[in-house]
Amino acid sequence: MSESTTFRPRSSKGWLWLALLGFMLILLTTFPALITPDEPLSGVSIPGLLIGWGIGIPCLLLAFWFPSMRYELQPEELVLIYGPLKLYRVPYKDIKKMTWQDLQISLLSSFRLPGFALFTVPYGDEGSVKMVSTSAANRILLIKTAKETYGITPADEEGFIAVMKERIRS
Amino acid sequence: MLFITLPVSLLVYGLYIYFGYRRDARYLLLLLPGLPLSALVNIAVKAPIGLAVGDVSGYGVGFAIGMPVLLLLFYALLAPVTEEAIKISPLLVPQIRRLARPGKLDALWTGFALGASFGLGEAIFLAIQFNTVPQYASTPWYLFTGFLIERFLTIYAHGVMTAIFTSFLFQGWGKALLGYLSAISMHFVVNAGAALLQVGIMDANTVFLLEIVTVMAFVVIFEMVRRRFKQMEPVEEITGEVVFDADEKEL
Repeated sequence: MSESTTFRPRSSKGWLWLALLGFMLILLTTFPALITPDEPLSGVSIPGLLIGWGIGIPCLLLAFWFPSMRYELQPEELVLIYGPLKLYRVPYKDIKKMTWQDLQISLLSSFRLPGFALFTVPYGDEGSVKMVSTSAANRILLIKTAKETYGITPADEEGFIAVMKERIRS
Repeated sequence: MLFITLPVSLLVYGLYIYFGYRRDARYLLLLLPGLPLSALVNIAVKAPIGLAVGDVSGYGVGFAIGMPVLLLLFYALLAPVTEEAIKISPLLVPQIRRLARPGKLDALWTGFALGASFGLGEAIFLAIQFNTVPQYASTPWYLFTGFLIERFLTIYAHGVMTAIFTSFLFQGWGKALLGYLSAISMHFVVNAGAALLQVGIMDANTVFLLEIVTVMAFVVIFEMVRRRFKQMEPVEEITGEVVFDADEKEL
């Protein structure tokens, strides 16, 4: 069992929400400046522009990388990948429990939208979960280790669980 | 800008209430009863009281430099005292009260939904008010982006303030009063920026940043209270479908 196996997440419209949020933030903070060229900053505040572009551009970037989200089962560890980033590595020997769960959302998070959750997301019931998923809260596979909890949404649920169990056992 | 603010706020806070707690659609209906309350309290309570006190004192209505401290304090507390009271008035309806009664978490989320409902109504009321001012009425809608962001944050703040009040409400008169005073204090802090802007001590950008910081503090407070109440609830034995358990090895 030395080769890597890759699983894709189940499909969602998370990329659309990300793109919409990014475009809306940029447009709503920039549009007034564009239509009043004589006074480019009338009707817009500098903090507003900074917030709009500062959050809008990363959102567009994440929307662009959305199709590359995947879960790679390597010989020794599960790697959660988003775009060019290998976000989290979960050694099989550290895994204590895996459960399917519907989570309760909390506002203490930034990258969680309908059909999308990334990075550390606090949930009302589970506390902080490291997410790489195409669902914000519905049917999340929680992978618990002694120190962390990871949340993913593989499309081939049974296939993923079977390969995971096989890797953990070996 | 109201036609963007309302649907966006309804969608975001509706999703927050639905997925944040029991996924019970009845809590979504709580976003409705507070809608007329802002107009009601402004027209029927705050305006007559403010006008009467303004006439008697001779200083007119609203904040101004040189006012006696007591009068400043009166105007600063008028909105918090009246609005925090009316925001929980839908709880007089038995069906709504039943949603808030079973436990502290139920009271907290019922309060949040009722407060957010009041905030949504306030956004509608303010938009109508702006429309009657010629200077604003002639301004294109896309220049009111500040309204969208400011109202979006204020709706959340209204939710948290009422949530804090209702979470104390059913624990005896003493605690109910403590909850009311807590909500008033929080409301006072939220309104402080606008008051300082009116008297010319702060500029609009600083007030806006102050509101962002205040609402961020409210997020932390709400989530801390929510987590504490959650820990106080009885632990459910099975919270999900277990597919692997290292202690039992195979399921």
